[in-house]
Amino acid sequence: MNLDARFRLLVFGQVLLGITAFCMAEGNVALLLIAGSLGAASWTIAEGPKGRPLPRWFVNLGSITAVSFMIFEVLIRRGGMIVAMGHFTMALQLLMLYARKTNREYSMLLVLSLIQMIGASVLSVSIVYGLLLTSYCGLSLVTVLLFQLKSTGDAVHRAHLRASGPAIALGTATRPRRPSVVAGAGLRWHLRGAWLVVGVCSAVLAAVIFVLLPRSGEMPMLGMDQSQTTLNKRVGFSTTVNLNGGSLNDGSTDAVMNVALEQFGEPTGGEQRPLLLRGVALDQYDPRANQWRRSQVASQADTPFRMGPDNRARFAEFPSVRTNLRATITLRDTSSRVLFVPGELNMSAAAIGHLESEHLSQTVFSPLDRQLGSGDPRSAALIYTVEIAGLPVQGLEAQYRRLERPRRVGGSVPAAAGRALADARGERKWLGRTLWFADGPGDSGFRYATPVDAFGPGVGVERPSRAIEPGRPVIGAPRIDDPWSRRVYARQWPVEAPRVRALATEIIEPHGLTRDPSVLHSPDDGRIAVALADYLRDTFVYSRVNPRPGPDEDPILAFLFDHQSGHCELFAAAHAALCRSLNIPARVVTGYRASEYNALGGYYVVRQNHAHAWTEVHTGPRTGWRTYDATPGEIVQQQHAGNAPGWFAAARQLYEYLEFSWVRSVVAFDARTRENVLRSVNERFQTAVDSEEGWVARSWEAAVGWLGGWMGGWPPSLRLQWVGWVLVVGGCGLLAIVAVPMGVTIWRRRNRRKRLRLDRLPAHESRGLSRRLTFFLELAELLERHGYRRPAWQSPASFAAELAEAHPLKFGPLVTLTETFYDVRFGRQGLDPKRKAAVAAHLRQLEANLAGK
Amino acid sequence: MRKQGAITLGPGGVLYLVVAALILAAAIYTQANLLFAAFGLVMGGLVVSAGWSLIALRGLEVRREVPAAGVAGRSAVLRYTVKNRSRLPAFSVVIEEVPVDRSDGVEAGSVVGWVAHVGPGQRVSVEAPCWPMRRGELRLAGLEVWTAFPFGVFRRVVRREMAQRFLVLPSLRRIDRRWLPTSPWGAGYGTKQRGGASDAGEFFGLRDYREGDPPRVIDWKRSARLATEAHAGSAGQTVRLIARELTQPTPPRVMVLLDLSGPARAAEPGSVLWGSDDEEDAITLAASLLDAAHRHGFWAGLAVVGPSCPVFAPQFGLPHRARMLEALARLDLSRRGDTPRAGMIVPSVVVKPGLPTVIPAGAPPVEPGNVSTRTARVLYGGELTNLGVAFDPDTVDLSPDELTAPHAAPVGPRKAGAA
Repeated sequence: MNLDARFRLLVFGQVLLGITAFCMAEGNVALLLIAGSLGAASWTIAEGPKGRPLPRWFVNLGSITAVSFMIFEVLIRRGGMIVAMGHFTMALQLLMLYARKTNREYSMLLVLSLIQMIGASVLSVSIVYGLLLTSYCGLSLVTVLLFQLKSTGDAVHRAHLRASGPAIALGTATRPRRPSVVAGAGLRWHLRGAWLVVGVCSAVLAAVIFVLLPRSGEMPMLGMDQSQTTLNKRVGFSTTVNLNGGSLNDGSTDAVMNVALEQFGEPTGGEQRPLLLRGVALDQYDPRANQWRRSQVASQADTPFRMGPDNRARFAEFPSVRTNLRATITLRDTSSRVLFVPGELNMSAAAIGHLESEHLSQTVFSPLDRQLGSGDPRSAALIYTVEIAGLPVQGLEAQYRRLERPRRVGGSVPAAAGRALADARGERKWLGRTLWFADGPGDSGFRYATPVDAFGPGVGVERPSRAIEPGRPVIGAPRIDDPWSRRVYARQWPVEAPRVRALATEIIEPHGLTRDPSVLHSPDDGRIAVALADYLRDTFVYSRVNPRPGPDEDPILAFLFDHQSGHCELFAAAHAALCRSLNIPARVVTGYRASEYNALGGYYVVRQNHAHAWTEVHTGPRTGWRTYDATPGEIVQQQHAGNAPGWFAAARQLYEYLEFSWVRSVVAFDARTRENVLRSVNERFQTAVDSEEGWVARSWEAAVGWLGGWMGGWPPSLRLQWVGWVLVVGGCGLLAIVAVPMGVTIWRRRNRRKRLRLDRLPAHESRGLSRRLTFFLELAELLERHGYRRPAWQSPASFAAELAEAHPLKFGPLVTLTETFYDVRFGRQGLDPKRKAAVAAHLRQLEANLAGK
Repeated sequence: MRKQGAITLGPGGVLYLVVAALILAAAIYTQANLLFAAFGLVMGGLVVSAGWSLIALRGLEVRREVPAAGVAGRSAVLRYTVKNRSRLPAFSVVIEEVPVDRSDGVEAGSVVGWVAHVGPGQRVSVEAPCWPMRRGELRLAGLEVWTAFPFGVFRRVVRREMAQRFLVLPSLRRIDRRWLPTSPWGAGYGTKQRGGASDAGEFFGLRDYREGDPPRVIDWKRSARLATEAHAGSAGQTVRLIARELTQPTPPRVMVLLDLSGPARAAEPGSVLWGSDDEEDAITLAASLLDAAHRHGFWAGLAVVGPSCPVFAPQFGLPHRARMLEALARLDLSRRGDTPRAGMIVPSVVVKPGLPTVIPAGAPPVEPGNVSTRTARVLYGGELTNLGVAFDPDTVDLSPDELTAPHAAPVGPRKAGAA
């Protein structure tokens, strides 16, 4: 076994795997091609027998250049640290691949490769990367095992060199040769066994350590690199809508989230039932910046909610529970803290009953615009379930308004928070994660909003006249009753309102509708909103190109009156503008339109390029906010459509499902999940211990129950009624898969040993001999097939000699094969590849002779 | 044989722990689950490594075979037989000799053998070269068997006491051939000593029979032929008897006198065997001369003045040479004694330590140990590099089999006396 060559090959493969993983995590195909090609070429250029490694000075110069480039990338280009580090390690690895390598260089290559994988771990949460990481771990285990053998051999060689130094200096000895690999038979198999044992044991321990290791819950790196690497390339969801022109490209197909719907207790959904995932409601249009954004009034209504003991935050109660829609959302892109809420056209907008999540400790909900957000630090992935009303709910707004009622709060102001309040009072200022406050509507001093972790489950306190002192109890009556005045919320249209109103009136008149802009509500508001949306959908042209408006031109007016073509944001903005011009409250909503459905997992797959914008219109005090989409749906559907049915689509669905499972089970594992798992284990254990039944039954019940609990979170299509059967069948199947081949192998070996009469030899001897002498059994079977059976009393040699004497040409190979048998059986000779080939050739020849060919 | 086991941090342990710390730091900072999993793997590897170290080397038997003798400055090969009696394979087993106190024997540097793998129930042999640089006994106190498999994090060490020793002969150098013919003891190389007519030996020639010659040397055929010719020429002449003259080849003889008659001095504090470098050079030169004499077919003998050493009468043969070299190897320069039968020793070459010195005219001849050295050529150990070259290590033809078994007591000459 040539340890050195194998080790070099493994290191080479490991380095290339690291480069591939990092480039894939970064999404940089060009770099993958360049670095991969350079790395692969090094095997021929530097590693071959005529390979010429780079001189040391060149490698040093290249290293300095790589360091300079990393500094340039971090400081000048303002690139992410992880990405810059990955590029740096990649450059160093490529240089080292072309350099002369000792064990030190090999160690550095392995460590650099590991750093690269660490960087890629931070950048990517894809299952592809998970597979690459698993392959990397398996490969590195083999590499490390071989490296250990190689480095020990090298250390022994160095010891020989040291010991022989004086003798060499004296001229009485030559430089000792490298010690040859002294190994018993079966090194390769035993090494594989060691790899398997070490790998499996390490994996089991890794799983335990993975669960037991505490998590802080904060992921500062996500704020740095992931957002930078993804924001640059993303064309998709945004918390503002900018209408300054420009065309949209295809956008990324990266999955953002998976949405599993359940209604009437059954999973539901499909490509024929597109879903709108509401992100942000933008109620304020800035005509100077041509931008839709969320108003400050809406932001002030953000209310933190701590999750209850059942991991729920309740916002409203719905009478009909069965018709409610339960959406389990696995959010894979948490670059913004927005929690998406599913909705459907013409239905109540974001009628959220409650939010449930094991991953969240608190959430932020705005009763005004029903915006839902995460109150926790960012995590790699987030799973939550929202319950939304499946039917129009009467009095929903009143329920939400109750959330706005002032509540009496109390507690102590932490020292730091108190100082911050006192120092910065009166200014609108962001004071970090611990505390923020904002100036109020202007009628009654200041309104302080504090996060839960500072003051407990309160919202804010109003203390306009007294300074808050640290450590002193704070008691106040926060007032968020009507500061933003529903008279003006989402109603005003600031740009050429009469002209727009004229257009709107012109649109609705053919439908027999009129609207007095001076009244707050009209019974026809809903029909008017529909008529306006239909008009835009039928008359205007959907296009990804958004012509840049002139210097004093408003893009929405240009869309309405000039080019009449544009993308979904323009359609939504125009619809909102038309409604507002008639004094109907309307706002633009950004989010995703999900129509790609994974039948295998039973969920919608939402990708970056599924980003969409639509409108919500307040159609009256009873009906509240309704969802309307003025964009031509067929075209959007075509753009969002997945692949045509076929094996590729099925494969893609399977991949989607695997990635979905990966994200749910591994990526989304956080501090709260860990706590839940440990608590669950503890409870199950306690239940099993306290149970009166037998130990086996208790354990069985506990295992089944626990797994059943987990299964509850699995895709509905894969959910089984009784988990125990799955365990039994799966376990038996697994046992059969392992045991049957093993049993067959053992039986075959034993039979072979018996036929070769090796059963009296020690096991380790007979094992090797029976493997090597398999050809003799084949020979015997071949002869028996043609009627030549060796009597039990006759030795193989005399049998072969007798046959050869009778037919020298025919049985010539038999004599040779018998001699080989004796060599192996009694001469303790091995069967090298050359000899094996000769044996096979003789067998073929004998077979041909016997067949008379 | 006593065992002592220990688990220490292995050669790659620090690097492994640093890498683990790096991954942990990255995992804590980034909270990336994959990094937590990777850290779990690394820690799992650590635990597995510790577990492996606990069961490694169990049931492993190591036997050592030492060579009959070694030569200073040349490699001697120690052979280890490793048998694995356990059910688990053993990987990357290193067998290392425990270093001995320098004053207690010859230092041979680190002697390390490496077995990459021994399967269950298997037995493998491995060779470990060593390079003893001084003559004397190389004492092997024990073995240290260790393995750092699988990751080099932990090193399982088992120490076994296994005392053995073997003799290291003085360094041997090849005497320059250009110099050899001029040596006084080599002048007679290839000649035959003419002997009288006798009944033993090889045919040398014919001569007239002399009175006293044994009758069996008479060459009757030639005598008869001569008589027939004489009879034909002149009748009545006396018959002339022709005798065959036989001869015996006499190989050149070399008697080396190693003159170490100076005051006893140890090379190093605590050393009890070796002398100064000059004296050691002289011993090397003497050993090389004896070896060269044997190579050229000479009879060689040895006498040492100063330290106690038996006198070896000139003889030829591998055992004889081995005995002389063994005597030189065991020469204890800290002990001085009388040279036995000094008056009977006639050396052909005297080997002295140091460099040639100018003897003032008229100075009385110095006779070391009362041995007459007037006819001998004097060589100095300091001239060693001029007189001989090192052997080509690849063509070393000193088989250990030629030497006597180790632990044998110094063997004196079978037949004492001068040539």
